[in-house]
Amino acid sequence: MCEDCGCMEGNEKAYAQMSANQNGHSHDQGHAQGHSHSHAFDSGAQEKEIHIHIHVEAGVNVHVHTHTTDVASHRHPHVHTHNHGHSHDGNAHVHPHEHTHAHPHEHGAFHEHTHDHAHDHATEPAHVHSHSHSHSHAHAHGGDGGHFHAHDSKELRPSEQRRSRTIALETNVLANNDAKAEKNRNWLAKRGVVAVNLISSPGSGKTFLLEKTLDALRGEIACAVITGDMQTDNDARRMMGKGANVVQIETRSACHLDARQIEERLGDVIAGGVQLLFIENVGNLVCPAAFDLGEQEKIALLSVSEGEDKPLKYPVLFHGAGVTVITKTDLLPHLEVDINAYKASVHKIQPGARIIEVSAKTGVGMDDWLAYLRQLVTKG
Amino acid sequence: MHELSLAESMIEQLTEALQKEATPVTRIETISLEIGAMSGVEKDAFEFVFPFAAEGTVAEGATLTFKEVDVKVKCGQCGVISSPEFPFVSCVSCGSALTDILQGKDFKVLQMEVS
Repeated sequence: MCEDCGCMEGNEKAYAQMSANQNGHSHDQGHAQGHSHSHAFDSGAQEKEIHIHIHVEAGVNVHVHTHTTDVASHRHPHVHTHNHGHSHDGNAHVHPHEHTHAHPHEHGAFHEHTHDHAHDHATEPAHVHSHSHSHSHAHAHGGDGGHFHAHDSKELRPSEQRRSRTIALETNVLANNDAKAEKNRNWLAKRGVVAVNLISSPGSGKTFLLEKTLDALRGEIACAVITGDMQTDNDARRMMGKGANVVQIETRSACHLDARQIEERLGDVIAGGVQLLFIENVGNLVCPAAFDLGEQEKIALLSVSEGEDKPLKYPVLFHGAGVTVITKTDLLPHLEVDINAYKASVHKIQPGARIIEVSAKTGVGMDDWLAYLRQLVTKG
Repeated sequence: MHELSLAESMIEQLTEALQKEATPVTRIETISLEIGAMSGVEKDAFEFVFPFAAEGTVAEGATLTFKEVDVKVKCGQCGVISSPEFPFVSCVSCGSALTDILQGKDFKVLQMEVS
């Protein structure tokens, strides 16, 4: 029970500080009150709960607060500061009233309050003040005029707030992409096509390696290429004229290819007995690793100038790659790097990972790379 | 920054799931997610981009909660299940590299609160 006003939930209670009131004198009264209410309601209840607080001050001053609500629950600490200065002179008297109310609220659902403050004065001339408002936020007001506060926050209608419920899912966020990737995989398998997804940093040599690969396999294995970049069709143009069907996907803002983009273009490149599809992903060590495109194998490329700890920094790709190709090995004599450190990093992330070292420029290691591709096609 | 694609994909998936609901849903209030240490998804990045993906959808204004999941591997040599420090996948008990990853690779939606 509130010590200041004596309010109790659902009850009416009057708290009085009575004192003799005489004419022909002046007096100032003031009191500050701080009290808080917390109400819990049965959300199923249709009846409205009404709380009435009555304050009686010095026999001349009655405040009635009425709270009406039908919400599930709410809490609202109230702090009221009332100053009532009275000047009495014979029958005439003047009451300046100053009210400051602060009502900070915390509640999870829509509700309305109506407050009625009626002041009855025992001495003449009697008058009654009343004002009402509805609000949901902290506010302060002075004077005794009527006012109205509208809600400006996002709120639920009472009919909506009782329908909150839980829906269990337990599904991968990428379930839709994975489903499309599986569809691509089946589509390719039905046509006897092996797809590989080449992922690496920009500039690690994917396109150059593919140019040399298409030249080497021309007439032996029918190839197709889907190449992804954020902008330009430069890569597609580089790989054209080598006997392979090539399409460019410009992803614009996306940092990776997804299964839907591949699905849309498969029909354009898989024709005429294509056996091997190279998907050259957007240059990026992070994002492409998360998106299954329907490939048979992910291939990570790592050039010798990138730093031997890249596999440690981007483990998701290097853990998931079927093979890691270390490229630009012709640069080794010019760099103070140890290729064994590169290999060690890869093996820390994926013990036993297959590593192929290649220089597409000099051709050293190309045989290993081509042998690996032939093996994939043979296995189907 | 593939988190934006992930957020869009998630909202698409949730919207599809809601279409199967008998009672119409006007708003997703909370989305509970599980994020594996090896999922390749950055929690902060996902939280950052989610509002952009959710704008104008039934998920606009939804609160995200995350359950972070460690990597767990089962050793193919000694059979012990352990949680090696990311990013290494070797058995904590015997050091063998022949392990199967049991958990920690997924990024899942567990459930959603709707109204």
